[in-house]
Order: sequence, then C-alpha cells, then structure tokens
Amino acid sequence: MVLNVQALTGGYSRTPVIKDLSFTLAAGTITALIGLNGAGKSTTIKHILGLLTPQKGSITLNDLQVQQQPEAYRQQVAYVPEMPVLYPALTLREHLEMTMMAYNLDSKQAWQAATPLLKQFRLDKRLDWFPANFSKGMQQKVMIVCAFMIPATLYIIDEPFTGLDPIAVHDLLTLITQAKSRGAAILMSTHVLATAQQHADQFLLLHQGQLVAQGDLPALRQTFKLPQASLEDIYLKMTEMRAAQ
Amino acid sequence: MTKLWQQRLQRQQRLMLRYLRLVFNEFFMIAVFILLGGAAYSYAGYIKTLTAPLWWSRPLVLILLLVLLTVGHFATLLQAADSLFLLPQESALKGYLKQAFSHSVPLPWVLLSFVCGFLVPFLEIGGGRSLISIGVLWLSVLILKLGQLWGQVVQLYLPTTQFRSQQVTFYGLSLLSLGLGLYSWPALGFVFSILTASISRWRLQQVQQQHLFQWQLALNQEASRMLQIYRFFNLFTDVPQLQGQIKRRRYLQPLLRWTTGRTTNPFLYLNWRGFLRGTEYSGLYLRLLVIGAIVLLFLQQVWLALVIALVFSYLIGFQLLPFYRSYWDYPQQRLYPQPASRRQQAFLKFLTPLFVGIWLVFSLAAYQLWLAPFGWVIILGVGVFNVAFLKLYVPNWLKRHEN
Repeated sequence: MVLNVQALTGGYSRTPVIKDLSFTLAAGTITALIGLNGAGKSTTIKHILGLLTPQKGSITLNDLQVQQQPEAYRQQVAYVPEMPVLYPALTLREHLEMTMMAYNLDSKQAWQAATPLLKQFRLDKRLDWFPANFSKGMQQKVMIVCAFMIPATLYIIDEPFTGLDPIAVHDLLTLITQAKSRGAAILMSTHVLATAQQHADQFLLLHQGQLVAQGDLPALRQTFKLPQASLEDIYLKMTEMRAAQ
Repeated sequence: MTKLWQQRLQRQQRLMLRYLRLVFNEFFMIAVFILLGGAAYSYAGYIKTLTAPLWWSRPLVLILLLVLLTVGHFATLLQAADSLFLLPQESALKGYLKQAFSHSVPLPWVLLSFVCGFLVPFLEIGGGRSLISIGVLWLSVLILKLGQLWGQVVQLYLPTTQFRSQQVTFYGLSLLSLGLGLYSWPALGFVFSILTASISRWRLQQVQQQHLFQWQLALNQEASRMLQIYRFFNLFTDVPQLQGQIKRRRYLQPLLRWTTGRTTNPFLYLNWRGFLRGTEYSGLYLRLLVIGAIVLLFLQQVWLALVIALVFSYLIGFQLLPFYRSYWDYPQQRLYPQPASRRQQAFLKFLTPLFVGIWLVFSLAAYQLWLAPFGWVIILGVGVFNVAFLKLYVPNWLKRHEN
C-alpha cells in the first residue's frame, strides 16, 4: 500500500472540514477524488501533502509520516495544483533546474526525463521564456512537466483537466497511465466524471467532508443499487440522497 | 455612472494623498525649496545677462511648448473588471468620460501656466515679445491642451490607423497656432488654437456616434498612466502595486553564474534570481548604497562618517531581511523535501556578497579620510559591524521568523 489514510479529521480552523476519512491508495492505481465544490477535496489533498496538520487520525506514505520524516516523505510526492503557481523571476529552464535541486535529482537523468515531456507539451522551444507570462493552460503544462519529471511514488493532481486543450488532456492522461504502469499511485480530484470513469481504478466520493462511498465502479453500482449506471448517474443519485437526508 | 465616477475619484484621491504625504515629507520639501530657489536665482542671473533678442529663443520656446502639450494624460480611472461589468452601460459611459475629462484638465493647465510664467522674462527680453502677446500665447497653449485632451478621448474610440492621421493634423495646427503666436500675430494664433481644439471636440462627438468604445485600449492606457505615477512614488517609498515587476537583465547573467553557478541549494538559486531580476529589493539596495556613498564622499569628520556608514549599513541590512519571506506564499516552497535550515543557510549565503559590497563601497567612498587620524576606523568599523550583523543578528532573526 502506498498511501494509508486512517480516520482523518481536519481543516483550517477548529471546525473540521473533513471528518473521519479512511482510505488507501495501492501502488499502480489511479484514484479519482470526487465531490461538489466545498466537499473537502482540496482540504484532503492539503492534509496528504502535509500543508495542514490533522486534528485526528493519521496519514502514512510508504511507512513514513510527514510530521516525523518530512524530507523523506516529501521526496516521494509530486503535486500539480489546481491553480498554477510559478516564480515570476525564473524562466522555464530555471523552474526545471530549481525542481531538480529541490528534489535532489541527478541533473543529467532529470533532463533526460524532462526533455520528452517538454516536447510532448510543446514547451521545448520556450525554455528561456518566463512562464509567469504564459496563458493559464500553458502554465498548467509547466506544472505538469515539473511534477512528472520527479520519480515520485505518489502523484497528486488537483483538477488536472481545467484550462488544458484536448491534446494536452490526452497527453496528461498518457503520462498518468505511464506513471501508473511504473508502479506509482495517482490521486486526482476532478469534476470531469466521464474521464474519471474511463481511467480511474477506484473512486472516493466525498460529500460535506465525509467519505460517502469508495471502490471501483462495480462496487459503487452495488452500493447505490444502480446496476447499469455511469459514474455521473451514481454521483447525481448520491447528491440527491444526501440532500433528502 | 455619475456616482461611480465620484466613488472612483474619492478613492483615487485618498490613495494619491497617502503617497503624497510620504513623498512630500519635511526633508523633501526643504530639498525642493533649496533646488527651486537655486534654479530661480541662477535663471534671474542669466536673464540679466541678456541684452538683445536671441535668434534661437523663439524656436526653442516653440519646441518646448509643443513637447509640453503632450504632458498630462486623460485619466479614466477605469478598472479591468469594468470591461465586463460596465459593458451594458456603454452609452452611459459618455457621462462618465465627461466627468473624467473635467477632472483631467486642471493639472496640465497649472503645469503649463507655471512654465509660461517661467518663460515670460525670457520671451520678453530674449524673444522680444510684449507682455500682452505672451499672455495671448499662454491662453492659446491652454486651449490647445484642451484640444489635445479631447484628442486622447477620441483615441479611445478610433482604430489606431485612423487616429494617427488625426494626431498629425492636431500637432500641425498646433505648430501653426503657436508659430503665429510667437512670430507674428498672437490674436490669429489664438483663433487658430480655438479652431484646432474645436476640430478635436467635433471629432469626438462624431466618433462617439460612429464607433464603439475600445475597452482594452482604454484599460491599457489607464494602467500605463497609473504605472507612471507609481514609478514616481516608488522613488520615495514602497509601492505595493509595483511589486512583482520582473526584468530579464541578461547582462547580469555572468553575476548569476558566479553566485549560483555551482550551487545545489534551490533557495540560493531562487534568491539571487529574484533579487537581480526584481526591481524592489535590488533597487532598494542600490539606492541606499549610492546615497550612503555620496554622503560619505563629502564628509570630512572621521567619527561622523563612521556613524553615517554604520547607519546606512544597518538600514540596508534591515530593509533586505523581509526578502527572506518573499516566496512563502508559494505552496511548492513547503513541499520541497528540504529542511528549513537549508533555506536559512541560503539566505545567509545570499546576503554575504551584498554585505561585502556595502563594506567595499563605503570604505572606498570615505577615501578622503583614510589618511586622517583614526581614518582606519571607518574601514574596520563597517567591516566588524557587517560581520556581526550577518553572524549574530541575521541567524536570530531567521529563527524568529521561520514560522
């Protein structure tokens, strides 16, 4: 098991945003984190990244806890945020070099890993440009390249498809699948349910900070007693049921 | 829309007042009075040396006035979100722009009147013009500025290519009007200035009926106008709106290679790039370093020079410290598998050459005092102070500010 989240309760203040979440991510799997706006997806991600401290419960990544061994824990996680955050003073090349230094990567090997990614996302001609001046979609591609050049065991991708053109969405999905076949675990929060249904191995359905259901598609169909349903049908049913409660 | 303009104007005036208070502090006012007094005194002295009309006086004034006509922009106070939220109100925008126009006139008029007043003795003696004709010329200049401002509103409606020909006509007629005022019949020049301004006014009415308001152009112009104002204020104080300005500065690449060429510390790599390519902290460092050095160049007393050098060293060091937190809002900074101690080491390593720079520049600036009794205390004092600041004060400050 790559990631093990046990009875996690947490949030930004004393009032918890996420309550008693327990789930695991296995090596070589893609997990889709699904929920309405404000359901607690980003808060869950921030806890896994170690940006927030849990009020209760524990998070273990390959037997490491972020509070105890922060550097070793972080060495294994790569993250693509929903909103690209880039250093205004660094060029694209320098962003990559900075990532190499920060993650203690061997420069030669890292460039070998980054070069095909740069070509794939059509960034290879812009190495000396300042990405802070790129369009939002292009900035997102820079964040993707910076994350996927790291040989992490866990990739966390927050709303990966917003702002990307169809080719880039396709390229990102290829990258995710490659990372999966390498044995990494991928956690992505998304609203694009059709894509999630097609590519994810398991789903975590969050509603008002609680994990309502989890498992693969057949398991979810069984839970909601919808034998032929798509992920979208299940999702709508879940929100209706919760609203009725 | 009238209410909106009033709100915007009030907010703008509050903002300007805040900055003006910072700029026009007592020291600055004293410096301005001394400078103005000195300039007025030498100008008066120069006028006294003039005996006969000078052939170049009138062309010079003509060029000066034409250039000054371009000073002073039409202030719309429009904001980026307006292009979305005010779009349905485009017809009501005319009223808003009218108010903006009335607000934009007085300041350039004051400036132009001040310059015309300054030119009176020069034009009387050097240009051989009568006081009445200079007065009429002054009125012409004010009317032409009115026309120029109307032209700026026209620009916000017209495609750039069409606007260019309008500009040529305006400045051509202005040249004719001012030329007539300076060389022959001022009254005719005045009539021409009214004609020129009227053409601009008539053209504005015409374009407002025929063309749509160019939101993007108007927003860009307002942004660049505000940027100019902020740049001015930034000479005296910190302007938050100017932060984040980044310049490539390729000529500093060798310096970057020297400082970070072999480093494996990502924070040092980032610090140097942020410092050299940003305007805020590098500007501050250079400004204080240059001012300190200039003051030291003129000081004759060793102990006073030492105090000044130490005060400036402390000021520079103290002002650089917040740079440590410049990148704290970036989530990746907290995700890097790097201990906090590495960030602190990087900052100390980044500050070291900057402090060596302070020591070298201040020691060299006090060169006159090297051979004076106790002259060496400046070199030694600044050196000891800088080492103590770096080795004792900064590490403590970094620990205190880590979280």
